[in-house]
Amino acid sequence: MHNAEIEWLRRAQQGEDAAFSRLVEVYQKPVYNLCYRMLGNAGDAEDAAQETFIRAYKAIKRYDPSRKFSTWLLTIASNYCIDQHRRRKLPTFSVDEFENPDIPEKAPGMEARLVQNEHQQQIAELLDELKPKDRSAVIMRYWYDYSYEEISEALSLSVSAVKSRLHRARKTLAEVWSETQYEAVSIERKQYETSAI
Amino acid sequence: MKQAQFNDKQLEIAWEEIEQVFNSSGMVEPAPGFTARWNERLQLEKQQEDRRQAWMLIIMNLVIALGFLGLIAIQIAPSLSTGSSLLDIWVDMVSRMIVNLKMVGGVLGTLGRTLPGVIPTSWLMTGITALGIMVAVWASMVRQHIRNQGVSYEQV
Repeated sequence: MHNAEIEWLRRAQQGEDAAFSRLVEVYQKPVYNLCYRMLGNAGDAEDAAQETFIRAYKAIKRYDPSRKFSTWLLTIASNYCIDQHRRRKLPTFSVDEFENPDIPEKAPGMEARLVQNEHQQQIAELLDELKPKDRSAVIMRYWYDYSYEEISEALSLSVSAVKSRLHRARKTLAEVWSETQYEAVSIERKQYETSAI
Repeated sequence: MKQAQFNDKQLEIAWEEIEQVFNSSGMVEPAPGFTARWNERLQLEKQQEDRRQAWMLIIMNLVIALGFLGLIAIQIAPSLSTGSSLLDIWVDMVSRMIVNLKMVGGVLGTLGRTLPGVIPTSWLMTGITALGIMVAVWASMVRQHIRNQGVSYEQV
């Protein structure tokens, strides 16, 4: 955390809205990314990210500076998204309904954008197979490089529970991936055989 | 045994492929103007909070006023057994209050001596307590409102 951020945090805790807005500016991307990976579409992710910052704003005076601010924010975001899953029982989304998120500016051209979109679809479909808390653990581990301890703190789980959830999630994802790849190969083979006849 | 080993290997390969997809995907960004939209939402939240507080103030005052009326009703209930109607008692009480108000306006110095003679002390104490609570609630709500408005808001 930069010195400027520490100062904004201090001023935000004293009730300065402008300082909190700067924190929103800095942390919007990680919070939005987590919400997007959790909820699977841009509209819900935007709403969840906004709500996360509103909740953080209301609770900022209770924030303990000895904790990492990003972990605190992501904990709020994760809890909110898990709660949304429980309330809405989000339906699984088809590829056709998939809303493309804003791809980072790194994508140089159309082709790269298409590949990125395809990857995002694959990831969304894979993550959709997991339970909300497992999904949250996977996202924190693979997009934020969080340690088991950090994930356990964020999700209020023991370290061994985090490890077991991640192991289970990896197995589920690998099984789904294998099945998908097998189906894709079968379809291709059928198409080839049909065209050969 | 061999089948299990094959499955494990297959899953291991599948997981490696998934990791590659994860690593290549990067962070997803919100649409431009996220902070501005958040600021708008915050303002809306604050307006709603102000409205909620105003309603709470009204409800609290109503509760206090009703409680106060209830206490008076309890105090005048014994008088009902004397035979006079409730309306008579209320009219009598209102007229006495008007007289009292005139007295307050006219001679503040004689208030201490006159009022206990006209209104029973228990009524007076109940009224003063209720008034005190109402004033305290009003004062705290007004102070909160002024403090909320006083927070400087700078658009980033």
